[in-house]
Amino acid sequence: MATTIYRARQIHTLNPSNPSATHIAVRDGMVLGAGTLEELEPWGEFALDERFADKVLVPGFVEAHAHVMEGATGLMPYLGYFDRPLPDGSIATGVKSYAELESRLRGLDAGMADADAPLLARGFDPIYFPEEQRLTNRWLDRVCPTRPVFLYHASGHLASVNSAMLRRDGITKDTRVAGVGRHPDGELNGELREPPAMALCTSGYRAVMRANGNEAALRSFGAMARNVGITTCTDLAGVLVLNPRAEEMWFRVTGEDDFPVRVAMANIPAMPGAATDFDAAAQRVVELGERATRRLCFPSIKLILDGSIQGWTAMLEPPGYLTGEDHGQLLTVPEQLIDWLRPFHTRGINVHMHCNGNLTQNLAIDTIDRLLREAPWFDHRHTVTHAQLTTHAQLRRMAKLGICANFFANHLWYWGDQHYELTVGPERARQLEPCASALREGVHFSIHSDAGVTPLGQLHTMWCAVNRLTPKGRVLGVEERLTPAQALHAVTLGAAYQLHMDHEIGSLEAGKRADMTVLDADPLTVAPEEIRDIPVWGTVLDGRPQAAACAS
Amino acid sequence: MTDAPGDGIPFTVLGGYLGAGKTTLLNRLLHALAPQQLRIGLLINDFGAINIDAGLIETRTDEQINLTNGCVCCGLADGFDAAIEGLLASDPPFDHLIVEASGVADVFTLAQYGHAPGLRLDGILVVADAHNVRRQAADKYVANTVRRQLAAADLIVLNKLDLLQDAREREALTGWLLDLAPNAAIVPATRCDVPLALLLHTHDAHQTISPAASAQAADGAHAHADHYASWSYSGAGRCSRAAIEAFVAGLPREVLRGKGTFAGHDGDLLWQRVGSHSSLQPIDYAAGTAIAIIARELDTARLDALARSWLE
Repeated sequence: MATTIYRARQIHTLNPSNPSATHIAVRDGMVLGAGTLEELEPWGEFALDERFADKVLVPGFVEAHAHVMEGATGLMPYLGYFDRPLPDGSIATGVKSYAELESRLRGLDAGMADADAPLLARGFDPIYFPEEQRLTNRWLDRVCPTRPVFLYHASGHLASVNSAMLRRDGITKDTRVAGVGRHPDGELNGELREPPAMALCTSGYRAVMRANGNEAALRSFGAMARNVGITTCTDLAGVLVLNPRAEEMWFRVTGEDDFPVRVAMANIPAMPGAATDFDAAAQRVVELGERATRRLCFPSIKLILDGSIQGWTAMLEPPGYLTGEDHGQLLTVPEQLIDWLRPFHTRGINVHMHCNGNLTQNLAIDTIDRLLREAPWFDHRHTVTHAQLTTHAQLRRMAKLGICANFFANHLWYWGDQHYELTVGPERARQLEPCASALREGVHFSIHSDAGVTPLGQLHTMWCAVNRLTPKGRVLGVEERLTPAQALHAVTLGAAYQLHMDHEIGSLEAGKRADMTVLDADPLTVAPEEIRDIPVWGTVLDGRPQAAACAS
Repeated sequence: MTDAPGDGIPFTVLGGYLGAGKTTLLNRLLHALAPQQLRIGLLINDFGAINIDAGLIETRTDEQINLTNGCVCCGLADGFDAAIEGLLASDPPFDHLIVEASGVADVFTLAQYGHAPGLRLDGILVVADAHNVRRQAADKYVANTVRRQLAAADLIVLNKLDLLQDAREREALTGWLLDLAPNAAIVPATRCDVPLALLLHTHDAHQTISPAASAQAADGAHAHADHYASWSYSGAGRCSRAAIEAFVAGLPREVLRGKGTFAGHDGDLLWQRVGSHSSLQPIDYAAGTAIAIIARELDTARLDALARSWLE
């Protein structure tokens, strides 16, 4: 069997016994060892591959909280505020004002051949605009008087449509669905809030929803993950328990030789908030697990317990929100949570629970505590994901109970100023995503993007945890900053650990998968504020080099 | 308030926190319906918990139960939009759709689907556990959820009242509920023993409900009619829209359910009321004015006078 030895400028292995190397030997997708060329030669005949001679290799990035819908970002026009990478390696430029929105819409309109086809776009987010935040049909009608337009907002809770779209889908003044917005004179204003109202726009909303998990989205998702250096990416709201019909597509596409990323799917056993036969769902996860392939595995399941902080729908411990009204949205019945978890826990299936607020996080911790008295499992690694407002007392309990955290570090950048000014105020904004405290208290943790909520990109996520900067230039909690080495651990071994995959991936050690991220510069030695700007050459997945797509 | 024209399928949201009795209520309802009496499509949150006698089940898959009386129960595995779409596509159409919401659902938002094309919101029913609801409304996790559900209700089935023996306690609880849900009608119940006619309207716009008959059908030997008062009115004359609206507005708040047709000068109207949620909707043809209402207690003389002053 052929052995390849890659030479690199620097290899950070994250193997504590052998942290640094210049060469790594790979055979049949497996790491034989890392060291000097001399140390690796005894493995026998080899080909020396010098293509990474001026690159820095780190263990392949593992993203423990992302969604396949990120792939759909590349399938329709993106009109969000922040620049966003697309599957072909190009960057969709952010839309930062209504003037820019107008020129983008005019360009898209002009570029469409079919005059009647609706223009659908995603990601629009006026929350950051300095000017008037509301977008109405009167503004849209001026820009697009005849073509139906549907702009799906980044929050996922709102869509803006023009009058042509209202007419196309028969939404009139007589519609009584709450959430259909109106001008003061009673005429419709083109705002559709929440799914019952958005669903009235069948030619917009349904198309956006369908795109979220289809085959094209999965392919884009794979390409986007590879482009930012991710070798294992979760789909943390997998649908294969709810929708077995999607199975054929998932196994076929991820089974193709050149599918560029390993997908760790955490299925949701029931629609958020709804109950199901959890025992049957757990059995189904076990059966899926038995059919896991090298590129599609099922290490965990996912439950969603509340909403979001910036939407005021996360459930917060007292003293609650700083401003605005508490719309805390509880998506589980507290007394039933233990019954929902038990079938998974007793089968040895790891559970990731979405808790944006620390009240639901308490519920998650309490429930795991009770479950462990009932059915001890010392190595469960159940994970609270997002865990944004974790308190120190919670960290101490989590450490004792073996609960992992997956912090939404990207929030520090994307909504850090909103948290400081509006949602929770300065003290709790400084404590947001308390990575350094987790480390100090001995909680295993990772950091994540929650893509498509924010873009995939572990260098960016590391940059957030290391710098804790906001767009307005604030540093949120100097005390909670990670060092670059700690951040690198969080996006490799830290993530692999909470997926029970750290024996296979997450570090470069003899016997583990040859998954590597190939970088142009060393994230441990560049200036911390430049980590997110390091160019990514691509990845090595199971020993196979795959370059990131380069937009020409 | 007037609904959009076109008679959609009546749509009911059934909510209530864990343990209140939603599943009991649904099981009762499904067992109470005679074959083809009323073909109901149900969207069930907890599909596994629905407990139907084997004799009533015609076919069953992982996603759907077809009952011999024509009703169909569906799970929500594919999401809410898809499930509603599936039921709306049924041929022949259902007479009524009911969504059983999860114990923590936001019933107000769910009810908005009832205003979508093809549907007509009949009402939001929330079952409350008389023994536990006040504790739940103060619970650190679920207080807001429970309060929001109650506040959104058109009709609250105050269940498990047998656990509250003291009359003063019952009165205090009812007062507390009315503070929280000033627009809701409250139906006291034990083991969700409530007449079918209170919960649902039949789809047939040209028939008025017969409370006693529906109550009998709902629960076999039990005669709920003893516990409820009904009043009905019929007349051949036509009246103005303003008079019809004045009549509807003049009905006492104790009315739990109301239904009927009005022959109007400017077109005929279908009237529906659940608790305080009242709607007037244009229909093609009414044979005349025919109204029926149900409540715990009714001053029939006052109602007769109300009808005389506006409808004749």
